[in-house]
Amino acid sequence: MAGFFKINLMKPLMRKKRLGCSMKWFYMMHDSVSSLSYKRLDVTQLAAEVDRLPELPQAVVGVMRALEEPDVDADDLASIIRLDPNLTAQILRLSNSAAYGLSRRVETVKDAVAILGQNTLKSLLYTILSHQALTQEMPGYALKAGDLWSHAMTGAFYARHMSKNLHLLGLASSAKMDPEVVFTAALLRDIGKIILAAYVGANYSDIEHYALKHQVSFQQAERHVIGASHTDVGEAIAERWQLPQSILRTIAYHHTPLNAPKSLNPQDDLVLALVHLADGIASLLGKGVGCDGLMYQIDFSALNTAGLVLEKEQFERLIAEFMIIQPQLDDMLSTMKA
Amino acid sequence: MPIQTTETIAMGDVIICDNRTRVFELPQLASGLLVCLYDPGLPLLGLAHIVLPDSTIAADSSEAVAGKYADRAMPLLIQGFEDKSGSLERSVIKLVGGAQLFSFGGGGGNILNIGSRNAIAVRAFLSKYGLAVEKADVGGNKVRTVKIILATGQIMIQQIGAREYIL
Repeated sequence: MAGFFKINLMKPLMRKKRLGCSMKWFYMMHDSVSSLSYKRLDVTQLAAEVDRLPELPQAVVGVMRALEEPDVDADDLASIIRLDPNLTAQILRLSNSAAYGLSRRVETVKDAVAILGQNTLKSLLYTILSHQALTQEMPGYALKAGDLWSHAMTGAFYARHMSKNLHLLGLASSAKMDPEVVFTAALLRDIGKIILAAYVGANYSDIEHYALKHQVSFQQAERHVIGASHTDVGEAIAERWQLPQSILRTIAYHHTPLNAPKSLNPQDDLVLALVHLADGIASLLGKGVGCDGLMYQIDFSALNTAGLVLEKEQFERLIAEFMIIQPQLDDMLSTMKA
Repeated sequence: MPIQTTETIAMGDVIICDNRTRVFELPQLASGLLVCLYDPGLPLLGLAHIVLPDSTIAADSSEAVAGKYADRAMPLLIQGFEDKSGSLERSVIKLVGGAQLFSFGGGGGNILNIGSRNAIAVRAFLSKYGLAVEKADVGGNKVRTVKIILATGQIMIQQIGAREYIL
């Protein structure tokens, strides 16, 4: 069981090299700066910080593992979930929220699993898991309690909605992708902020100055000033949690999709593009935005590369669509808050 | 002294209020535009939190979403204000918000500038009535926290890393 979460500290570094990304920022971090100063984040400290994250609940680990088995059924999954009363209660509560639009009330975990399906169950588990981490106050990013959670969920809702309505983006609806993977990737995209917040707080003015002076995003400026960005840290967390490659890749490159390494699965580029776009729109609408504010861009050339066509009118229509699904999102947020 | 009550402004809200104890707050205003109409004589406050400039692109044309679009929210704001005996001649009009994302290299500048298009749409509407904006804090790349005190008509704005100031 423990092996599931064991992080290979060298793995992220080796993978970066293999993917052809710049290693410069890792080496730059070995400056003579105190590791306790929160001024810079070196590779050892990053690994230690990631290692300090709380372990995932046993029931969640069990369900995730069971979901990997080809012949798992609702009975198997329900019997694991029932071992954790808190998890059981949360799954039932969320299943009955307006966001899932079920036609009848779900009374048992087995019902929930059977009706939602395994993919939705998986994204529901990630939602429950990430809730606590993303809900905390993060003064370093000037985020009040609940802000980052709101940003994460807003982006996740937007991204999933687009994946189910690809015609809004000029794509044939036949493009195959799992909307729940898109949801989870978007939900966890800023998970690195839970660690990087303290470092951003200690370096904010330098980061902002660098971003404005060099016309780069806040995330790129984080990397320059601190030595790692929230996407780098997020990638390390995703490695530790052994998240699927598509999700890990999206966390790592959701601000810079054109820099992502080539994927064997062509749908991965579409997942990444949708999350990139959803993130930008969530920020543009001021949903749970911190001190990094709007210091990001939506890279339209990256969207085009992924096959998305988005002119001014379509962009506004998309935002209008998101306002229609806003009540579902609000319901989900208030259900989680209760 | 009466106790002040604070109300949060949501996207698409059109508010007309003459309750002197009321304070309105908008915690994270980004590309949206807050139109503030204030008649100091009564006093009467009119607010519209606009998200997009033009409703003709929307699939949903219901009344519920009217306040989200400049072309539908502004007539509602003016009508509601006059219904409450607000005087447009005596009123002060201020605009806040309209921030936008960075735009460099990746294209999309003219697609993303929703904030400035919202402001253009509102100014064009007001000019039809011969009304001018007295003050505006519009644009930039940072979200704003806005607080409006009805009793005084003061609009307080704060951006992260900067001091709060009165518009």
